Amino acid sequence: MTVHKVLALEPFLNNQAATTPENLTDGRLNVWRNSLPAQSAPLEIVVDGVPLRSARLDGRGPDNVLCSGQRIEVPERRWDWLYVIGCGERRVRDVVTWHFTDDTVDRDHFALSDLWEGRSDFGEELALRTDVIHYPHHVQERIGITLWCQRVPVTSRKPLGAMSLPRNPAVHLFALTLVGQRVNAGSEDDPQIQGASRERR
Amino acid sequence: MNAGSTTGTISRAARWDGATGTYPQWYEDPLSCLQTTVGSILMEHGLRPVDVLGLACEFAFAPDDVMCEEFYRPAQSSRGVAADLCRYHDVESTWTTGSDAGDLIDLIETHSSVIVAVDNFHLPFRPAFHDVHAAHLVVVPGWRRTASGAVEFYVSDAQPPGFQGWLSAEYLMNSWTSGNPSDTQDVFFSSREIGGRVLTTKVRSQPEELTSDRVAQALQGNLDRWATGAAGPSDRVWTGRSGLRRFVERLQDSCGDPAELRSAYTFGWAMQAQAFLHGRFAQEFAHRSKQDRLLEVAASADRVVSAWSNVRLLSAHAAETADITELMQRRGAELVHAYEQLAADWRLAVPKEWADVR
Repeated sequence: MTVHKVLALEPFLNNQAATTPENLTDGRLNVWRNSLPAQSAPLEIVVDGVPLRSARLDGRGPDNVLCSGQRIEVPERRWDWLYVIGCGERRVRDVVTWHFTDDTVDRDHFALSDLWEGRSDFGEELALRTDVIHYPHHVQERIGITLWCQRVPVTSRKPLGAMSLPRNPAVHLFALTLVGQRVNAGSEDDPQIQGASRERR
Repeated sequence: MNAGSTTGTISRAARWDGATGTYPQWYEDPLSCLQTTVGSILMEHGLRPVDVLGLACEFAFAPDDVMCEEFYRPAQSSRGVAADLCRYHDVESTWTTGSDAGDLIDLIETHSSVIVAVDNFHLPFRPAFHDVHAAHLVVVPGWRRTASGAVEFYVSDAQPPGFQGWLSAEYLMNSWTSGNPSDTQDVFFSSREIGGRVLTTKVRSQPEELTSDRVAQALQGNLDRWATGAAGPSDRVWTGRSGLRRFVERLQDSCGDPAELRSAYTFGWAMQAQAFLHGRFAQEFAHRSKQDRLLEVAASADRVVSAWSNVRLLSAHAAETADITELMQRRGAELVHAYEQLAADWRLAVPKEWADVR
């Protein structure tokens, strides 16, 4: 039985992916300053039974994390997977660095497909596909932006305390959820995770 | 259109039809207009683009070139960029120029399909139309005069969103003769005059089945060029292992100057696209020929593609990226490592017994 922890990205939002026709020039999804059309609600999807939730995508400010090595503390325990919603400016491979509670570190491979003309190179699920793409001075039809749902394994089975995102200006993340195994279902052995479950609701 | 569907031996003229819009187009994600336009010409000749463009993989960098175009690739041989791309086939190309519709008609009449440099700003089917100036290549395989006497050109652009069809001469002429002025929205692919440039090609290779022997020869050739590359003071083009190492050092030295780093984004596209095609070729041929070691080549080539993504995007975002010097050192090392791993897999994939089984 799995447990999840939806990580709050609000403290780390540093990039604007969504714009409205009124503020097209604010988009920063790539070097061309393309952006995706603002959405009426945050993305909320469930992939492999794992809930993922983005920040607001209303086109009124930062809505995603442009990866620059941000360190994110996580509830201390063994985690198995990090599920993400994200996109690459061009398809991209990098690493996530894990900080274990015994002070050791390790990295796992992270791969994310291109936001442009959505073709999944790494077998990802679609998280969002738009019908149009925003340019700084016009709305372009016939081309869409794709956000992907991808996962990263936590290969080491040591208890995890924090993670560092890639240092990569081509990686945009919109949602992060950790997935682990429940140690003793229904018991009080895993208070952090019960907390996580509450947050998930 | 799928490349595989156009293989065969029918004559070049029968391969497309302006009325039905069947000019052979080919596009894969990391390819630039250089590969996709040359790929279309190869398909016209019954060749599979992946089999021709994917055999070679190498590093080549000309430090003194201006690299502000999507289709930039350092010139290596005297037989033109198409020869550099199709290293193991008899293909060559020449850049020429024209200035009006009559010149372009003459070039089409002489060479059949030609590859035409354009500024996307003037092309109604491009997203950049009347928004962004950016250099690009399209194939122009034909022209016609309409009932009213106006000249139209058939234009094929495989890059997304993709287009083929008749276009009035006015659009194409504006685009082909554009000054492509420097554009703050596209500092990568603007600022060099299009200047009526046309790439003409000659394809002499015949469609034929690739053999394991030829593939082994090509991999050995790639390996030789990797090992014997040069990057001395008098070398116009830095090649192979030495060239890549010097290129990476230069990137690190340029970290204080984002404008200088930008060229890595444009230049890197050609190298990345070639590595992608090489990986795709190795994967396809591995399955066709049941040679599992080529699958290792494919996986390693894909790592080169990814390493280029990181170098290119870091270079493009240098101005707003903190710790650029430190990051570039890591990305440069990753790129070198990725090519070294590919070279190791070439070595493993060219066992002596291949050459002996003839």
